[in-house]
Formats: sequence, C-alpha cells, structure tokens
Amino acid sequence: MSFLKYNNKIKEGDTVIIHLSHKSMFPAVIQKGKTLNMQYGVLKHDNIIDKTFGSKIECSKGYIRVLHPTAELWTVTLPHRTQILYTTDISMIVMQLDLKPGCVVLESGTGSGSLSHALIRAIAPTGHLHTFEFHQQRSEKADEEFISHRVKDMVTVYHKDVCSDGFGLTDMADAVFLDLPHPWDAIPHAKQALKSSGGRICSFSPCIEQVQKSCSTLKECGFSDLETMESLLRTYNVSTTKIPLADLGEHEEDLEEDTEEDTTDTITEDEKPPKKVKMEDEANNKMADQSKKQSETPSVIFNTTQPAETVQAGHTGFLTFATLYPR
Amino acid sequence: MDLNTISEGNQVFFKKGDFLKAVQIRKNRTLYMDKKKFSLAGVLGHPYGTKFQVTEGRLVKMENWLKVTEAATTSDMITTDNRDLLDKDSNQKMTRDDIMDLKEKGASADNIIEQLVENSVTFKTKTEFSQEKYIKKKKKKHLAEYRIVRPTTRLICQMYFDTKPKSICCMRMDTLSQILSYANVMSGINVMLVETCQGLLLGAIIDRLAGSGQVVQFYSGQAPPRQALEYYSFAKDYMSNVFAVPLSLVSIIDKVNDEPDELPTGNRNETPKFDQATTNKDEAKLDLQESSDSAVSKSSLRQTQREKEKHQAIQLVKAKQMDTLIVACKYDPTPIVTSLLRYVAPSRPIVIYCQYQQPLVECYMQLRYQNLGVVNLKLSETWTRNYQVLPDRTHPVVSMSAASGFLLTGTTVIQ
Repeated sequence: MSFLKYNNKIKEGDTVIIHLSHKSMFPAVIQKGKTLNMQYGVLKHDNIIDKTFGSKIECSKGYIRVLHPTAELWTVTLPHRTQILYTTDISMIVMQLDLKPGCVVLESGTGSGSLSHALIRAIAPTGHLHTFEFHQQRSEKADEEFISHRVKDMVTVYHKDVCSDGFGLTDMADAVFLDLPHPWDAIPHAKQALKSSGGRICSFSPCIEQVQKSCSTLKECGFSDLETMESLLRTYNVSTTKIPLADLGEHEEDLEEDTEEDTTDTITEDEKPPKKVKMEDEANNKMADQSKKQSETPSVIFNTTQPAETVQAGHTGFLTFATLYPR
Repeated sequence: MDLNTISEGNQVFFKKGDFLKAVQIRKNRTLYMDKKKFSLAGVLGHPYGTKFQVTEGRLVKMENWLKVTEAATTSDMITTDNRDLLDKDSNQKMTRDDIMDLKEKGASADNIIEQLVENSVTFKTKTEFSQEKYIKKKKKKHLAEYRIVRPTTRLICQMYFDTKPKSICCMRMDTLSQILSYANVMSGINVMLVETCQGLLLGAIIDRLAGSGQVVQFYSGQAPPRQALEYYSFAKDYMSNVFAVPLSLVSIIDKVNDEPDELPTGNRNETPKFDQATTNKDEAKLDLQESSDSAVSKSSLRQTQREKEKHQAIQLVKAKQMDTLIVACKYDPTPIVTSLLRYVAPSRPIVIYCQYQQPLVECYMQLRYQNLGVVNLKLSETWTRNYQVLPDRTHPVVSMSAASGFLLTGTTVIQ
C-alpha cells in the first residue's frame, strides 16, 4: 500500500480504512498481534494481513470491510488537529492551480494534512510539495504520517512561520497555497518563491475581511486574473418513496370502469403518472408489492432524492485565485 | 524548444478578462477578432503570459507594466449620488460613426476613451465608483489587448462551459475537478472511461496521468470523442497509453481469448472492411488489390494499428484490475455501469456524472439493491458562487451558474 500506488494485498504496516458503513469509517495501521475493539466486536489485525483490499472481514459480532486508502478517504477519516479542507474545496484548488505531475507546490499551513495528500497525489511522481507549519507538534505529526503513508519522497515539511520569516525559497514554485489568518503577510514571500516564468496562487479564508485585504495585497504585488468564489456540496439520499393519493371523489369515467376491488391496484398499475412508477425494476417491484399489501389507501411510488441532512455545510471559506505573469 | 516560449504551431489561448479564444499560432496567419484584423507573427519568441496590443494590424508586446493600484476612494469620500441622473442615449455626444472615424484614423484606445468621457454629459455628475465602472466598461470594449496563455484543463473547461456547455453535458469546472479527485486519478493508474464531452474529461485525465498508466475509452458511434485533445498538444508518449474500444464489444470481452485473430471488427462502419484473420501488413496490402495508392495502404496500416490497440485494451480490461470507472456521457449510465463494473478491481472508486439527476437515482437503486458490490454510494451536486471583491464594493456576483450536473460516487468491494 501507498497513497500513490495501489497494491491488492494488505501487508503489515499498511494504513487501511476500516469500513463499517458509509457513516462509520476510520483509519488503522495494521500490526501483527494487534486487536481493535469496535461496534461489531473484536477485530484481529492478523485476520486482515494478506487479505485483498475490499474484502469482508468477520468479527465477533458482524463484519467490516477493509478499503485501500485514497486522499479522499483520508480526508473524511483523518484525526483532526485543526479544521480541515474537504474534497469540494480541495478539488477546486487542485484544478485552479493547474496542478499535474512535475509541479512544485508550496503550502502554508500544513494543518492536519488533508489538502497535502491531494496535492501530493496530483503532482506525483515527479513534482514536490513544500509544506510549512508554524506549530511544531503538528509539523512533526504531519511528517510521521507522510512517512507512514509512503509518500515521504514527494514532500518536505518545514517548521516555520512564513508570514514573519518567508518561505526561504526563490523562483522555484509553480503554485502556492495559503490557508493563514494573515495571508497578506505571506503574499510578497509567495511572489518571490514563484517561478519567474509565472505561476498560480490560492488563498483560502473564512472571513470576507481577510479576502478583501488579501485581494488588495495581491493586486499591489502585481498578480492578475483575481477570482474569488465559494463552493458547497449538496448531497442527497436516494430512496423509494410512497405518497398517498387524495380522495377526489367519484368521477363518471371511473364508474364506467371496473369495480372497487381494483381501486388500490389501479393507481399503481395504470399509466398515471406513467414516469413515476417503475415496475421493470425488480427491487422496486418488491417494495411496491409489499406496500400494496400493507396499505389500504391508493398511492404513487417512485424513486427520488431528498437532502441528505436537513442542515448541510453553509460555508467553509472563500477561495481566491490569481496568476503571476512574467514581466 | 523552450516550453515557456510561444512558438510556431503552438495551440494557445487569447485571453481578455473572461474571454478566451483558442488559436493556433502560424506566423503567416491573419486573425480577425473583436472587429480588428491582425497578423500573428508578433507573438513568436515571447514568453507565455505576455500581453499584446493590436497596433496597425500587428500584435505588439505591451511595454508599460501598469501598476494597478486600487482607487483610494472609499464610500465615505463620495459626495454625489444618482438621484438626478437620467438614463438617455443623448447623454453621449459622440456617435457610433464618430468613434469608427477615430479608430480608422488610428487613435489609441486610451484616446478614444478620453473623448468618450469628455463628450459624456453625465460623467462628471457620477459617483467615483460609477466613473471607475464606466471607464472599465469602455476599456473592455475598445482596448484590443490580449494575453497569450497556455491551455490548461481549467481554461479549456471554462471556454467550453462559457461557449458551448451542451457539448460537454453541461459539466461545470467544479464538478469536473471533483471527478478527478473522487476517481483518485493519479500517475500510474488504469482508467476505464466513457464520455461524450468532446474529450475534455479524457484530456484532463491524460494530463494527470502524464504518460504513466493507461486509459481505455469506451465509445458509442463512429469514433471516440477527442476534439478537446487538440488544445492540450499532448506528446506522443502520453497518447500511446490511450486506447479506444467500441461499447458494442463489451458483451464479448470475457469471451475474447488471447489470440489477436479472434477479435471481431465491432464497428460495422469502419472502412476499408478488414478481414479478421489479417493482422499481417503484407496480407493486408494484398486484400486491397483494387488500389495501389500509397494513401490507401497507409490507411490500412492505421487500421491494423487500431485493431492491435483495441485488442491490447480488451486484454487489459479483461484482467479485471482496472483502477477506476468514470462515466460522463449523454447515454443512460445504468446499463453502461452495470456492464463495466465487473472489470474494476475491488476497493476502487467509481464516478458517474450525469447532467440530469434522475438517471443517477435509478443507477443508485441498481447499485445498492442488486448486490453489485459497491459501498459508500453518494449522490451530490455542487453550488458555486463567485464574488466581486473591491473596497466597499464586495458582494457576490450578480448572476450565478445554475447547473453543475450531478455526481454519483462509490467504492467497489468484494461481494
């Protein structure tokens, strides 16, 4: 296993993602003799070693699945040391910074390493990530994780405050990412670090005042094509839903048709409404049959979506992008 | 050849604000853009990112680096407002003919804008913010300034989405960026792809694979969509790992054995019609005795090459170790996904994009309840809003893109 290369067999030392359900996943580092206590009982690491990723592993009270780690799975399961970036913002950042294999990227601050893993994935195997964290313990933890995830060649972790001390790098980066309380202090240093042939910059800030000050500094430093945006993911639950039909009384046409005993069945088997009732699908047939037996009221059955939660993320931060062109 | 320098034959973008135009640089070529005609030769040898101005039918590098300082104006300093402002055409004394006259005389854009301001009855009464906005608008219209930039996925996607979104199934950039993330697209992996987005998604994937890893592009119809690839200008070694297989062959993948002779032609419309047993070049030439034209034998060589590649791709897929399945097309995704899912290795991501939500709802139901070995199914769409950021004038941009398309993602597992 490596975050940069798929391997089918689970080996000792691998970081894996233990999957109980889509709402319950967590990472684990596999070690001989180790056991894990969780909802479905005791999980012995020895039972996992040499199995294939994606396998079902039996535990004392049920089963779990072991998944190969990816930057996305890591983002939703990693231990938070700080507030992190999620895949929606991460994806836009990677796209807007024009990242691809071979790029050199600077990141400040490292935080919990969520974005870092996605940056590394985009620029591997020939690029490099230089990531800066002013909190010593966090910078050490990030370094440990990069080693454990077998991506250490792709990244250098610096324990440094780039706002006061700069990056210490000149004319070498294709892109710079800033997630700082005062990004305007780091912007001149970022300009120095970017290649003289030009590059891209991104600043992520939760507050609009930070965005305003950053934009004004970016312009003063000669950056162009400034663009500020925010993105939010809207997830949906999918289910087969049944809604009842109201009693609209008897109509002449209905009286001419066949009798009361068909009433319950008529609605679901007729063409009204044609598109909503799916009878070809075996799964839906089962559910439709069950509800026909259970309910006495006529109803319409269809597959539909609903918002996954009533309250979803309303704001993460504003993303500001800009280009430094060669003079 | 320095990759940072604009060279003969390069595919570039002319950029002016949000306007992007794809152009291939040819020194003898004349371009007609924004009602101006000019030769392209002036850009050669300059670095990408240089700004040019159209002067007397030529592109000339802009020498002055104008430091853009924000107006010191804040809303506290503004003493006027628009209570007496009447919006009338007669506010501007210059006519369209006057402006055309000036242009023909070779007046610079700055000159023209100065004249427009002087001849505007209402300009002096506007607020300073309003004056800035007026000048910015005139500059955008009359200044023939372009920056030459290198095409990247971001710019190519923006150009398609702004000018012909239906041709890319209305896939907005934020959604495209998520497809690449969720499918874990990275150097070295093997991708199965079905797309009808003019090859934009294919290009984005090839760009991130950078020559290492393989893409098998399944397609319906005459040829795999690859129009967008011309903007990327990929090196030959990048393209040698990209294969095309007609979807109509999917049902026989498992039945194909390792001998190349056994592969059926699949697409009936491919010409010249090829005898299955003929993979030897010389035999192929004999079969086409009607014409000894060298062009025809070249095309039959290409045909052999295509057959060989198709066979190679099928062998790759047949091993059931593909690292991801990405579907983003105008066709109903469910049958495509259920046929190709078995070739994806366990514990790998699958990503299905659709312009419409309902087909993904049905696909979700199939994957969830038909025991097809997919967990973590998630159906989503993305809401993105841009902002104007100016001192005392920061607010979301007035109009927003309404549709991003929908994504269904999941992870394969062993049943």
